[in-house]
Amino acid sequence: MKPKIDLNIAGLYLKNPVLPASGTFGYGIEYEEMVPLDQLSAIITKGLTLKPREGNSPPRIVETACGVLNSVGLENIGIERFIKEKLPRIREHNIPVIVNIGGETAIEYEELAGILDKEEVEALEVNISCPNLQKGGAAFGNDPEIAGSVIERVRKRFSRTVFAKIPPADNINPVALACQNEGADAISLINTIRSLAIDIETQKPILGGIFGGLSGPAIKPVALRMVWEVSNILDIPVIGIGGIFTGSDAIEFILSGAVAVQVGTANLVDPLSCLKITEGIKEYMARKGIQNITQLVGKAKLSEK
Amino acid sequence: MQSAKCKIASIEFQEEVVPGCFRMGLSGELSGSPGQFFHILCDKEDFSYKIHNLPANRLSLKKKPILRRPFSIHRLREGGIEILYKVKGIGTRMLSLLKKGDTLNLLGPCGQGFRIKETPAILVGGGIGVAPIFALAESLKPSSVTCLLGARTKNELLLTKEFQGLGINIKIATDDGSCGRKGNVLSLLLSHYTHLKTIYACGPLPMLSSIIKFAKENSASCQVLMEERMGCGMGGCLCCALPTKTGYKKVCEDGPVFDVEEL
Repeated sequence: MKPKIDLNIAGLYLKNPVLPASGTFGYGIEYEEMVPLDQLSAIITKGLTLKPREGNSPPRIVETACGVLNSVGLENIGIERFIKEKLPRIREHNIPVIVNIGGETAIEYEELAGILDKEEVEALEVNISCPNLQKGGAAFGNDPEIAGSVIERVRKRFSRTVFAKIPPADNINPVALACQNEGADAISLINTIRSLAIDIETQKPILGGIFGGLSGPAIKPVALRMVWEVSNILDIPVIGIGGIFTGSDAIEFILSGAVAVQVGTANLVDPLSCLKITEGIKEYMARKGIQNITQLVGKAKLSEK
Repeated sequence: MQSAKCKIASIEFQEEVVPGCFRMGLSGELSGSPGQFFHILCDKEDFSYKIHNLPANRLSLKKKPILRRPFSIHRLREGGIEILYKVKGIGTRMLSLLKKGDTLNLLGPCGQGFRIKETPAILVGGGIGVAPIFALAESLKPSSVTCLLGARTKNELLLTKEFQGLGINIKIATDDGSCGRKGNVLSLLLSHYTHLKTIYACGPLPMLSSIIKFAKENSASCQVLMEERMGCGMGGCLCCALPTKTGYKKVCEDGPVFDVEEL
């Protein structure tokens, strides 16, 4: 029997539980020659803001042991150009479009939500967790009250599915709860972890933005623990993110309580990662004789409860 | 899984040209033009990865580079390419340990190569920056080319014989004066540049900066191959940003070769 791996998040139908994480797959169409995009469950776009953003000064990426630091600083073409130039081209591939939105003020998020509500966009992912911004970003997601108020504003203006993407903060539980209480349909976690790399020859930070966000296998155990904890206290679904490179990585997240996962750093290495990981999940389910992926969600916690 | 851009190639040979600097021949369905690059996973293609389900964590526990590394095309041959690289970090170190017959996973050809003009050419290669310059030299008529090579010392000079083998007139500068003129290649450029020649350059950033400045002051036609720390190599992650007159451009997609007028 073919294992059932599709799911529905507040009306958003996903044919498989593996999504490309925002910022690691461009606007999707960069990869159309190489990746059969229609096989992906959805596209999550590069983070978008009201006005175009130039981003941080280079270097913007550096590799570290088992991980990658990036400091792109939300470079993007702005919502207007996105709607005009990119959205119609993504739509050609017949997959749901999830637009990741960011801003420096809560009003900016609200305006973006209002604009995108009128477009053919299935869902929003509200980025209150970017570690590479002076204002907004993780500064919002580290404070339950501000996080909640951003989600409330977006919820008011956007009628379809809303994800809140939150940072790996110490107070992640109250932040996640606040997002749920203000109407988020799902929580994506974690974003990258703010970190630093130094060049000992020049005796300066390697990244132009000084600090960067750590991603990749190095953060997987942290992300797993947070998915476990947050999914314990929420009623809405959790989407797990953090260093997923293989099907087995994804299964770990699902067993810890995630209903779906996002793949980030692995996309930079292999743009086919999402599809390969989906295959890996199916093979695992076949091997274990599991018919429906929902049987696996949070299963590792059964003994705890 | 191979697709239009993702390829598996096998190593035909690997040789240490000068200490710490390697030339590798790769065979497979590889094509491209001078100035373009391949984005290479610096480890043996792991066929077990194809079953998608390694034991948990195996990938992360193996001490190996995560991101791909970009390598310019050094030579285009029938049925393959060659790359020329210097060991700088863990990626190039891993690559240097691979042997004939090992297979590699490549993305490419990536980016925009040199746009060849009809005019006589001055090629400038500093250090390992000669790698893509050689591919360009092979595609030009030798009699219309002057090649300026720079290195720190005579021992680090690369490809002098190979350029001469193409019948190209070469001029050399070394920082310590152990070969050719003492000083940097810019001093050679000052002596050999004449109006109507096109400059094509690749090398360390200080060298390129001085060439860019020279080209702008002299309104010279000039193309430079730029480097930046890179993520995906496909224009998706926006990590390899290069400041230009019209804002940041992507080295991987808009470059790596840029016209000096853009900068």
